[in-house]
Amino acid sequence: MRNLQSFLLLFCFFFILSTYGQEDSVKIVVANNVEIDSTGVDPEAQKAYNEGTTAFENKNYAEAIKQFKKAIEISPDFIIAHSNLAYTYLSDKKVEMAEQQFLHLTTMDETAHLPFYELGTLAELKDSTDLAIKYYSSAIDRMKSDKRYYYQRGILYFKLGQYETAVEDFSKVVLIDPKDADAYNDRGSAYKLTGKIDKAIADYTKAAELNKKSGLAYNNLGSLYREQKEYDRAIKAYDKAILIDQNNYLAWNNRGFAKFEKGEYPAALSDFKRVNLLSPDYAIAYNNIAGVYMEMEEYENVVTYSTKAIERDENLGAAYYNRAIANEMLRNEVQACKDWSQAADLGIRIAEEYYTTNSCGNLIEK
Amino acid sequence: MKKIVLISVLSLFSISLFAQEVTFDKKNFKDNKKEFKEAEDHLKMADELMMPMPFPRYGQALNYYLKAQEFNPKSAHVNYQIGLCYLNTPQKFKALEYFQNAFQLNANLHPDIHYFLGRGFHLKMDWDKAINHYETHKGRIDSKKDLEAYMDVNKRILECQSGKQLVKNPVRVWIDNMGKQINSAYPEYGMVMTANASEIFFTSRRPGSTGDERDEFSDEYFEDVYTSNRYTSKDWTPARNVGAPINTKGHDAVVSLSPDGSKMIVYIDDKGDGNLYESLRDGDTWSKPKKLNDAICSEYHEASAWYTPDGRQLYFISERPLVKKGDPKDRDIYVATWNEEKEEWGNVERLPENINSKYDEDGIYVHPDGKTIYFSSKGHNSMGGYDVFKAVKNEDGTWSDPENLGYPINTPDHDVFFVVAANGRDAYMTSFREDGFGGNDLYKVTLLGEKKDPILSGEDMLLANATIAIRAVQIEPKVEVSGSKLMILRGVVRDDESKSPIAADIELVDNETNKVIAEFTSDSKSGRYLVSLPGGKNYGIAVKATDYLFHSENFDVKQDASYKEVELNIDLKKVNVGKSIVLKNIFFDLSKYSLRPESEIELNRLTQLLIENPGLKIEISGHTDSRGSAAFNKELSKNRAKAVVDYLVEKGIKKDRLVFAGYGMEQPIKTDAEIAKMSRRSDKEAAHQQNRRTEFKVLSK
Repeated sequence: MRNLQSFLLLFCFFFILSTYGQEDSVKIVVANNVEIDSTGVDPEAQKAYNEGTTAFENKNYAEAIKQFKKAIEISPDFIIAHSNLAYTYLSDKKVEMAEQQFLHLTTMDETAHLPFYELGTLAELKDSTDLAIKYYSSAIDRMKSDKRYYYQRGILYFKLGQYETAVEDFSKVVLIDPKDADAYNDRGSAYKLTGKIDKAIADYTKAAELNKKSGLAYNNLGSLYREQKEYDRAIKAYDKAILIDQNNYLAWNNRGFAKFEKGEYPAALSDFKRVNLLSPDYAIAYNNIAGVYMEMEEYENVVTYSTKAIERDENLGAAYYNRAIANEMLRNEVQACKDWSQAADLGIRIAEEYYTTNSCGNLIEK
Repeated sequence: MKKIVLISVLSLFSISLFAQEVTFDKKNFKDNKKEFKEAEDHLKMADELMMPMPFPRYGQALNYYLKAQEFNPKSAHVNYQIGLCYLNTPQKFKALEYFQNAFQLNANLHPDIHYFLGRGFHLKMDWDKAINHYETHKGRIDSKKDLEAYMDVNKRILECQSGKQLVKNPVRVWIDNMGKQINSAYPEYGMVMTANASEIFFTSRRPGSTGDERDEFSDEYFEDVYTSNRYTSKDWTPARNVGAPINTKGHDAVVSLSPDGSKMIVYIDDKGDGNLYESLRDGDTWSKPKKLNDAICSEYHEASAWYTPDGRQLYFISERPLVKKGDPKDRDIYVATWNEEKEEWGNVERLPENINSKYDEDGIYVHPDGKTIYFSSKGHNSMGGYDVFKAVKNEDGTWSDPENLGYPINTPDHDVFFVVAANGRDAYMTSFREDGFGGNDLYKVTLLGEKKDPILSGEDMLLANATIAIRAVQIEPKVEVSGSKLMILRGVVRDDESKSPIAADIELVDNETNKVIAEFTSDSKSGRYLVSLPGGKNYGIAVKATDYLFHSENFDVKQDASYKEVELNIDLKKVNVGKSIVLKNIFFDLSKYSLRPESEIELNRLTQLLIENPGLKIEISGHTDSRGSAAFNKELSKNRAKAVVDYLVEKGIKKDRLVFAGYGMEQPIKTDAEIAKMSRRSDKEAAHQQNRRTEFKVLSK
């Protein structure tokens, strides 16, 4: 069995990861034909296998499945045929069959860890987070030095809000690969969300050093400083993110937010308007412009820009809330009430308070 | 030194150049004797009008002084007197100009000139100049000989210092004239209102007052009470004189209205004694005002009062002296409690020292939340005259320190008659403003509360390989919502079939203590009712009328609930076969069928109905919401209905008059489909709660 595992790993070397499908996030693997008799497997099985891979390359998945099954029938222990059958099921969008096949692979070889990883990614696709974590954990049990398994599991813990556990996994990743910028960034985020600000700063800084082509870590560092009300530092970090990528509209937006909170309204306005140019459909920036105009007491402009935000994202509660305040100040009280009602429906709790304290029920009725 | 001498010389020169006094002496007007004579007559007339003490006729004298001043603007005396007159009329802010003229013309004309210059600058909110003049005046007073004047100017200085602080942080308000439907070219003031400000009463001195005569002292029409409402529109109806018996030929001023508008208190001068009278409403008719008992109306002056929302206490202002200390003329706030047995006001208590300052308090108003009072005071940190303050009664009966409502609600002039509607946002006040219709006008003050901060947001890619940005947590502004913590329940009580208004008794029960805490009556002609439900209680409400089944409601008003106004028209059903009502104040423990103690009042009400109608046979039915298993719900509802029947039997009602049934989730008031369409969770929960109920139905009678 151990030989089979070695063979599988060796064989995987020949695999070409041809595409990474964004739409379904399923890896499609194309295998080269193997030399007949080169593996000691029954030649008939090898022949079927090779025909299967050819069919796969031609996207004739039904034929590929038929041939791989034939190869397995002749040689039940023909691991790569099992493996290719699993990937072919995936390509043919027969996810449950693929899962069964990967599960079968994990039992065929008690040291196999990659099938667990694939099962984990499939579970993630079905939003079965707990199951995915279970598979990644099984993969780790069998292979403790593959950083991908820790990383994927860490992300899931992060998404579940179990930041301390996520930190443990990301820490394993950087132990295995001290140059993994993504792991530092993600651990920084986990530290941030557990209130370990100094550690978060250190990790974001390290991530930024390791990957000089990405403004991601600088942006996150900037937001961390902004939340600490260290606006000058925040703005500097965002500056660096923007320097790396002038089109990073999130960094422009965030820098505007920091400038707003610092009280630099014209400068904030300028940043938000830049976002409008870079990403004309980004609703948040329009709403943020409305927020700046609110502080400038230009209420007509608040209405204009919060309306633009709503036109782009009708579920942006903050935009209804901001427009309500402006309408109140413009003494369009009925419209203000309608906006507070919308904002409340979209989860802005304080809007519901204002709706009731402003006797909106009566105003709208009359 | 040379510089100082030069400046002094120049100053004297400039004073002599620009401020040379011309007295009312015929030698100074040799060329126009006729006009001088006329102006001199005006002056004499004005001076005579200023003679009566303690009430000089400032308004009338002013007109004569202005005519005299037109002829001779350089009379220090005339300018000074005009300043005094303006200072005692609504247009106080015009006084400064004339005091300044008088001072320039003759700085030594009157020893009090710096005091009045201080008053003039004070009213203009020119705080530093006011303080300087007050200090100069203070320096001229011998405190041993004239302590009262010394204390007075010290108080004025403190007021200026308060004013300086208060105007630095103006409160966010809109102040709007209530418009021509309410205000006239004549004085309007002292507005009172129902709890939700849907109906108002106020005092006006406009032509057409009862008797159409003028007060000889002020030369203004006698006071009458007027009313307006906005029951059917958001605009006020034209002000209408309420007529007799409230209005008489003399002064008639309204000072208080019960929250539901069923009782009014009017002030009657009673030859200077000043007393409070109460009038009761029956439809559109008011009873002849009846003097409140001696506990309230002492031999001293009483001028202002307000009912608590349950009608069981009356706050009022009195000048009665304190036993141990105080000035007999010091107006303070007192509270009297209604004695149920004796059916009269009694147990009068003076509010504590932190509320009643050593200066006058007036214009008491009790908010419909029952624990917040608004009043005017010349003490505390007033910025001049009466300022409006707010204080809250704590759970332990003590009072919070009064909070000055701030500028521009308060000004250096008198600010009184401030009332706040139940919503805590709409307030009303009396004010003289240049943009008004003339005299004092009524103004609406919209209390905007703390600044509402905008919500902005940022987004981050917290995970390097995430495809969707994670929005930074949107921090909602940390604003303490200043609105009232109460609910107003209002509507009309009608006959179920004819929809005719009914005069019904409304009983308010505190379900926690099982006690009736207030009783009201709906208006006999309109059927209108209004009940104020302060936060922190679970209320049972029973509406009863002869020959009708009672109607019950339940409202749980949380301690921190924000203001809510609920309109609920109640259609009472005649005691007829087939009629059913929901018993909203019968309570069970969750998933159990044992009656909770707070159900007792409702059950006794039902018992009483059966006793009063001995032929009545009824069905008690239990209903649940659609959550949980149908079988369990059906069994639970049946057991609950049986528990009610058992109670009634125990109370002596014959078993053969009672049937019980459990319908589970079979007869919802709101269907699941209707609930599914509701967007807010709170609405959905309320709908489920509506479905969980106990009903009774008349089977025969």
